[in-house]
Amino acid sequence: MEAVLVENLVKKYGNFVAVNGISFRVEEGRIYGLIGPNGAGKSTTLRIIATLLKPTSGRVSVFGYDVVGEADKVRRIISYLPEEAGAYKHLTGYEYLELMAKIYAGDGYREYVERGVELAGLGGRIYSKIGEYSKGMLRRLLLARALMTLPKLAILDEPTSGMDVVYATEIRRMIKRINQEGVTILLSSHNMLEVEYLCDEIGIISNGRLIAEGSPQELKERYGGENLEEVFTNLVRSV
Amino acid sequence: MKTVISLAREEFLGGLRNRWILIYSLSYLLLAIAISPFSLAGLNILGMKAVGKVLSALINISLYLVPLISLITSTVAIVGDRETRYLEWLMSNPVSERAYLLGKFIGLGLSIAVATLLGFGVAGWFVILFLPPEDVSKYFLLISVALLLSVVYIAMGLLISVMSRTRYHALGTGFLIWFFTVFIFDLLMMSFLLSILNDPLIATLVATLNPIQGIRLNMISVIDPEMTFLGFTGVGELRENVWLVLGTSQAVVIGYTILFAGLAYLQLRRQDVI
Repeated sequence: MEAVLVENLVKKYGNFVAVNGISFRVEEGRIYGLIGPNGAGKSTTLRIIATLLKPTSGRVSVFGYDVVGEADKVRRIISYLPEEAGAYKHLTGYEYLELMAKIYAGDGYREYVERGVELAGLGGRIYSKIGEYSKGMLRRLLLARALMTLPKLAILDEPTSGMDVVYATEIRRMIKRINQEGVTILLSSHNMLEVEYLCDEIGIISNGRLIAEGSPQELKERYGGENLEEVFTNLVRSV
Repeated sequence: MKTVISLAREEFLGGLRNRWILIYSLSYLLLAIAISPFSLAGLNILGMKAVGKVLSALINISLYLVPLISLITSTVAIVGDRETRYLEWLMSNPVSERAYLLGKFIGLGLSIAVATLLGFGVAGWFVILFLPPEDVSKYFLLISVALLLSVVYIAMGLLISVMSRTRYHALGTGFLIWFFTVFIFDLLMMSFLLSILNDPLIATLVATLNPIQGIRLNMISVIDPEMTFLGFTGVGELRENVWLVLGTSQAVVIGYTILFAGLAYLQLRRQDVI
């Protein structure tokens, strides 16, 4: 089944066209990566899929639910990690996971919290105030929150943004593990190594258009690069 | 409903940590302490019943402070979440626009109610010490009316917050509305109405379009059901139509609350979350 279906998606802000007729699909159980230069339209596309922005035209559905007309149903089955996210700074990490788990699960929230605590891997610091966390710790907490409910679709915008190598490696392992448990992943990243390691399929966006799509291996063969970085550079320069 | 309660709880706890609410509560506290013992002690020595003086002083204070604090806290509530990117993340969860708005509304209302009760509470202690039980009940009724004023201004503030792109814009708009409804509206409306209508009842009914005026009339009616405070007009035509005036003013306040909250909800649903 299609986890995500995007058809002729357009998003305009006044005269500026942020997304210009993008179409792609993500099959259930896969990891799909959107890559592109800054301002290419990646985050806008992810935000539309996450029901946060309304498309100007085109159609987007998540597991068959329309993101505009059935936003409430979509929000029940997705998790979204924004590139920059705020959280209640006066709560501890544990209280924060608890608050969000209750929104999803009501009385049966404890299982989610336990998984969240494990995924965050913050040890005793999970009981510290979020306001005292480093950027990397906050990112881990937010990612744990996004994945603890085992959503049908996890939308991750730059999941390892601002993290050091050790944290970033752990996060990638976490994403792989959660995917193996059946969660479909849609992510964006600037890090080509990360994308090549994680993704089954990749869509390259430039100037609001999808200019190439395929598995990392297919893209390397089709566009003649030794690695995804070369493919990406060649493609973006040629547009 | 559980989502609403969870969000309202967080908003309430956050509200109690809000420095504006702390300043508000402390100002109330100091003013209430200053007013109560001096008024009561001085007037009781002279053999006068002091409740009217104390309560009318508190009415005047609350008619300025309650709208101000309600607008300050509510105008930044949603736009603040948008600026910190909290809204972007929260609204991708199973949280409907209705639950989010209700959570904000209830949480803010409760935090302002607690702060108001704290401020009024100290004055209330003096009131209970010095006054007979029937005046004590009037006192608590007065607090309830003050909280009704808070509710309408929170709804107004949330609408401003939804429509604003920055918190400075929201705060500026909130302050202008406070200034207009507290100081300007009555001057314009009353001079205009009295010059063309010459009918105090209709003029009073129209004046209740300003929620502050409506609440003021309700507060006065609590401590002075005969409306003698209003002078000639009060003892004349208004006294005969007191329920019409009070009913209209209450309906207007409730109507505004539903209208502003409804518009905020529709706007929140219509626009992009970020």
